[in-house]
Amino acid sequence: MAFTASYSVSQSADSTSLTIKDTSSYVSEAQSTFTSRVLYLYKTDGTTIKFPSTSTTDYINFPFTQPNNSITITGFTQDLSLIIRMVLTSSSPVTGSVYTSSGVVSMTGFTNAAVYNAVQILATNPSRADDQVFFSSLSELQTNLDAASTAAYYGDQFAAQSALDRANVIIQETNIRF
Amino acid sequence: MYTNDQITSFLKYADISTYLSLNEYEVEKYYNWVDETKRTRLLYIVKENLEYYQGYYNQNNSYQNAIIYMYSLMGKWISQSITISGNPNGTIVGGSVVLPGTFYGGTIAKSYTAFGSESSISFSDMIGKSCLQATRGGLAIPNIITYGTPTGNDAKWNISTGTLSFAIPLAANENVTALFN
Repeated sequence: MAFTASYSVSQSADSTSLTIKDTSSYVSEAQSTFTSRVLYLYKTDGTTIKFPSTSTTDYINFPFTQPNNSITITGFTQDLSLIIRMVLTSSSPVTGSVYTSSGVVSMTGFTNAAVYNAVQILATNPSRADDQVFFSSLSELQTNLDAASTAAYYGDQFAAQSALDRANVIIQETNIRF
Repeated sequence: MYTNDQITSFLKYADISTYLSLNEYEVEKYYNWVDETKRTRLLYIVKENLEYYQGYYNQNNSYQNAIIYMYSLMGKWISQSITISGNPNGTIVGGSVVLPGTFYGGTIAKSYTAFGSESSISFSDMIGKSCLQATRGGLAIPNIITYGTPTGNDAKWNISTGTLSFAIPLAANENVTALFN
């Protein structure tokens, strides 16, 4: 059976880190047949996330020695829509195997955290829902959250990032909106 | 504390309630020119957010309070949601048919809207049952004691008389929703 690279992504509860797990099956081609595994995390401006921050390369090294085939990238301060590309280099490539996996991933942790904070306010003081600024801000956050997820689903990184940026503006104005 | 399975059920009811309430409010908007769809929107937002954090915070007090708030938003659609979610002919999931107002495992939700100044209310059909959780005006009642005198925002459940009493009397139109088992 041909090898097919794949990965999954999850975000930490505090939203500041992203964990990428290599979910490829190494049954047909063992990990020992690969010479490297790297990740590219492209932002909408074409630049890549540097990790660690002092890194001078465009890629993030994802060695096979990583526990559980996963790597946690830290230091995020706002939600981003990223094209995540995992590239494996085989020392003996097999015809039909796919050594690259790529997809659009939208982080929504910070936006969800802002909604969660607003929900906490509502749970304590339900009448705040009658405050038009409060409600419309909350509704706008959710609209942008849904838009970012849908755009990422259809692979539209720019639309996803635009929605996350709109949400981020609301988050920055939390003290006056909520 | 609600278990993770109970929370999953509540989120499912909220999901169904969203559709039920929107359907009703859209009809109301068309025929009566009264727009209450905001409540549906709020329920959707809270439900989506609590779904997102279920795996992270489901046993936190703040999360549990938010679940109770979501429950209060579901209001009158709870019973129908439970029926639909458990109806083998329904569109959501299979399972046994349950009576409206009755949760799986025999948990029953009761609701009361105050005239004002009541320091106790009766649920005579709940005599002999335990009061698991209750909300007052959409807020969780911190402690439901079964003996002594309630203080502050706490309430006392008398299992033998089916009476829920409060230290602070209810205000007019204040809603009390309680779960019994």
